[in-house]
Parts: sequence; structure tokens; C-alpha cells
Amino acid sequence: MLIDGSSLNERVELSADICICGGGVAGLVLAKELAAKFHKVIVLESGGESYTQEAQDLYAPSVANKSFYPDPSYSRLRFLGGASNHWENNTSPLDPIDFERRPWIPNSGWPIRFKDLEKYYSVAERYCGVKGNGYDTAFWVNKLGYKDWMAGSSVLETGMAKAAVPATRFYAEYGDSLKVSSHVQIVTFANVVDVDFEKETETISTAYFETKPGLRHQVNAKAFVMCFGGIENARMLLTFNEKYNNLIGNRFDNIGRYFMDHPTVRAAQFYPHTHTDLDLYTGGPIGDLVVKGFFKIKEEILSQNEISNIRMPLQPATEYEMSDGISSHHIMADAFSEGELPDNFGTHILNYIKDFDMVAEAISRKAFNTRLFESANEMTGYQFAMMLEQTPHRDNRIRLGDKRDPYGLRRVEIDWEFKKDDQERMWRALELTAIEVGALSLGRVRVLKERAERLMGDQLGYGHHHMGTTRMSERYEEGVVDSHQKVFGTNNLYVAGSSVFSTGGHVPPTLTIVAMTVRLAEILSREYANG
Amino acid sequence: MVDKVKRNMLLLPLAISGVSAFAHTNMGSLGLEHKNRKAEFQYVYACWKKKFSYEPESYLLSQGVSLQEDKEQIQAISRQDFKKGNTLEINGFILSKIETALMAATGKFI
Repeated sequence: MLIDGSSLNERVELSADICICGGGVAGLVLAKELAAKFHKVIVLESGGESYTQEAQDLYAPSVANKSFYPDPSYSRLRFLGGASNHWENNTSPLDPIDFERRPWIPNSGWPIRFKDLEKYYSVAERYCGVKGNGYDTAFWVNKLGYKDWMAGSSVLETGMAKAAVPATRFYAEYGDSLKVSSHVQIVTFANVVDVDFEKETETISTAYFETKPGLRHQVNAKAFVMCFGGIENARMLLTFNEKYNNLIGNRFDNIGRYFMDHPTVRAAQFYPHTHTDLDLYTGGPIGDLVVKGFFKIKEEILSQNEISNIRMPLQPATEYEMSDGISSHHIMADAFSEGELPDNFGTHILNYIKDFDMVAEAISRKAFNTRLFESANEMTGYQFAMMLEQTPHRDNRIRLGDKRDPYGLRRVEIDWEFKKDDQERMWRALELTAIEVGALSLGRVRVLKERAERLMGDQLGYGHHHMGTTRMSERYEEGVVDSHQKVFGTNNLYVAGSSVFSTGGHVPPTLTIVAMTVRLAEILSREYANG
Repeated sequence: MVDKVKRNMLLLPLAISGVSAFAHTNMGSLGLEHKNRKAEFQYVYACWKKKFSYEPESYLLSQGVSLQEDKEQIQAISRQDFKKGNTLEINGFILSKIETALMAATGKFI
């Protein structure tokens, strides 16, 4: 059943077995999984069935970000289906090594292992619309008849990614079945604002929500699951703790910390000796599915060389896109505007002169919307459109700012930085890759270290994957939720979504979010279905 | 629109007719933009001189390689260089020492 919260004019009190706060990917999957096992499941969603600017504006931060980090007002979507309403449906599972404690990556290590999640990934594939058959490279190479360029390598291997075409929008896909379920109630425009926490029993008894500022309703339930999203889970827990003096999972000041994204950097170029047989990495859709390979570094090599996990998909690139001159032009312009000379000034001048035609092309395109040189669009090679693992640094964090939203809740502030240690590990990974590509006689790799300042500055891209802010850990001292995703210091409050990730690998998080949510549904069913 | 030939005429007065050694060694596929191949080889030679006290041709001779060497053999040495970590970084490109020596020697003599 769907209740339009905007139509409520009087206070209501609801009861449920499980109250799910948030109707994005995790919230909807959890509702689907629990519908058959519980008499009543309530989903509270801040937005409606489609986009409204009023709901979206609730995501606005307290202050603009200090770094280049994207404005969280628009990297998320606040209506049923959440970020699945604009995702690219890119799926891969995390690697086993992602779950391990790696001494060279501070704060790494999950309290669960890959094998604990493995069986849920196949269920998650179906939810994400990418069918079955998994992500085994040998299987797909055999099925598609494509060449695996890394088959002979002891350093590199090919990983697989799959996406549905068109992308799966979770509410469009699963909303109807939830609306007709007699066990599920979805309340739209329901903004959670507060909870009642009984300190003696460490139990949440009630969640309060407002459908208009000041019109407050409540849900009483056996258990509550926060599915607000990677940033909002932390924001709401911090909000609740203002009233309860950090007793709800924040005794050790971990909520909001260890914030991670996937930096996306084009810091290397690949010039293969041949452009044939690269279909595994560049192929188009096969029916309603895109299956693509990417270069990655084998787990034992990551360990031996103490580097972070890294994904290197091949992005065909033109002469224009690969141009040194354009990049050097920007680097010099930035430095000159601050009254300085850039590092490697001589190199940049040479690049500028050598690539002057491409610089002219850029100026012409920008100023006159006109193309000058035909060859600018000739394919020259490939960029590694990399997605990088980011170390969970404690001072990358979500905080509550001073400004408040219309419901009186403090808006977020974000401290985020792509730190030097991660950058250094990335360069090491690229050098290893370049050497192996040479050793295999596949071509040559150019590592664009001289462009580092710009690559890590205004050219840095983001996955918009918000992770780690309510991290899972073995001990309360190190995190916010335990291995069952239950908030430390509570008996019946859970968190779902990428905020519980202890580390993020190089993998878009949705498949893992779904797998972990299916696992959480099993845990909740065991704990509460018969109680 | 200015086609590539005209562009090369505008920008590449120094373009050289070709370096036979690189036709043999398949280094034309390095991906270095050959707008000014001569200047690039000379740049590689300058990099070599910064790094090593000996000349590239003496290194090639010490490896039993001449510019007339068989392409497959040079590629095999190049692969071994990569495996042993015997590489140099030239303008971001990670290259084997043998191919760098070939380019540097060319840059020295053309």
C-alpha cells in the first residue's frame, strides 16, 4: 500500500514489525525481502514517486565544499528508488582482498569475508537486472568468444563488469509489487526527524516523521533499519545522538568518519601494438546487457607491492583527448594566474609548441564551437578510465553544519580529500601495469605523472559513491555497526547501504549494497520474524 | 577544415623521411606523436645522456644489437628488459632500455 504523506493533515501513529527509513535501493530491496516474512513492514520515504525540487533541496549542504568534491545536492536523488533513478547500472562484486585487513592500508579490514557475501551476489545480480552467470572472466571469454589480453600475465588480469540496458530503476521495477502487498506500507514525503531511545534497554521504540514541517507522526516497531543513503545515514545518526549524548553508536566518535568515494582519474594512456581483438574491453551491448572487461592487478601482486585496488577500463581516445598541449596549456594558465611558474615549465612549453594544433583546436571548439582539424577525432589510443580504491581516512568525514533544513535538522558539511598516500599507491600501480604491458608485448603505457597536479585537482572525477560513514567493524572502538549491521550500543537499530562498507574496493557499490541487504533481511528474519 | 597533410606541412618542417631501424623494430607503434620525429629521437638521446655516462650505440653493441638487427630478436630483448625492470621513463612512457637505446642512437645520428 502507498500512503501519500503530503495528503495527511492530522497526526498518525503507525505500528510495524520492521520500520525501514528510506526508499532507495537498500530500502526497497529490504522491503521486498521482508514482505513475505513479516506481517507488517513500513517504508518511510522523504520524497515522492517521482522527482520534486522541494524534497531534493533537503540534500543541500550547510556550506559549499572546500575541495572539488561534488555538491551532494545533486549527486543523490531523493525520491523512491533513490540513486537507481540515475545510475549507470555498472555492477561488479568486491574482490576477496577488499575484505581483508591489509597493513599497508590504514583502517582496512571488514569483520566479514567475501565468502560470507558470495551467495548473496547472485540474488543481487537479478535485482540489478544483470541476470545470472556471475563475473567469472573465463566464463565470459568463452561465452563471447573474445580474447583475454591478460591470459598470460602473472601480474595483471581481466575483471568483468555488467550493466543492464536500459538501467534498472528500482522503484519502477519493484514498486508495483510493493504497492499491492498487504504486508508493506510505503509512506511518501515522510521525513524522519527523531527517535525515542530507551537507554536502559538500548532499544529504539519509536521513529518520528514529519510530512510537513511541524506535522509530526510516529511509527512504533520491533526493529528499525536506516536506509537513508551513504551520507544521510551518518547525518541522521549524528542528529539522533545530539539528543542521546552519543549513546547510539557514537561512543568512539566514529559516525561520519572514514568517508570514501571512488576517485576516477585518467592518469595513464595505453597504446596497444594492435587495435584488433580488443572487443572484450570495448564491446557494445549484447542484447539488453553490456558485458565489459577491464584491466586489474592480481591480488597477490597488490599484496607484494602494497598497493590499493584499482580498476583500469579502456576508454578509446582521440588525438584531441590525448593531447599533452591542451593539458599543459591549462597547467601553465593556472600557474600564471597565480603569478607563478608551473613545475616542469620547460616540458609544458615543449608540449604546448608540439601540440599547438590541438591547443588551437581546443580554443576553436570553445570560442567558436567550430572544429579545425579532422585528425583531432582520429582514435590514437586508450585512456585508462580508472576507478580507485580510497583509504578510509578518519578525517575524511561528514559533519553536521550550522544551517538547518525546513524540518529543523542540521545540514551536512563534508571534509574530503584524495590523500597523497593513495596517490602514491596509484602511481606505483600504474608503473607496474606499464612494465607488465611491455613485458607481454601488448603495447606501451604512458604514465602522466607530470600532469599530477591537474589530474588530482580540477580534472579529478568521482564515482559519487558515498561509503564508510557508518562503517562495519569487529569492535565498537573501530566502527559504528557490527557484522550484522546493527548499530553498536543498540539492540534493534540497523543500517543498510554503502555507509556500512569498511573499505570500498574499486567497485561501484550498488551490487554489494543489494547483496548485503539481502543478507540483512535474513538476519532480521531470524531475529524478529517469530518474536 | 585543415586536413592532416596540410597540418603536417604547417607544423612539421623537420619531419624525417623515416628511420629504417624503427620499421624493423615495430617501434612505430609506440604511440609517440610523430609530428616531429627527429626532435623526439633527439629528446630521447638527451634523456639517455642525462641518465647514462655511456653512449647508446656502445650499449647496443654490448648487447650484440645493431640497427640491422632482426625485429623479433630486439622485441625478445625488450620483453626481457621489462621483466627485469630494465626500463626508463621518457615523457611518461615506460620503455625498455633496448628500445630507448635504439631511439637515442637514432636521435644522435640523424
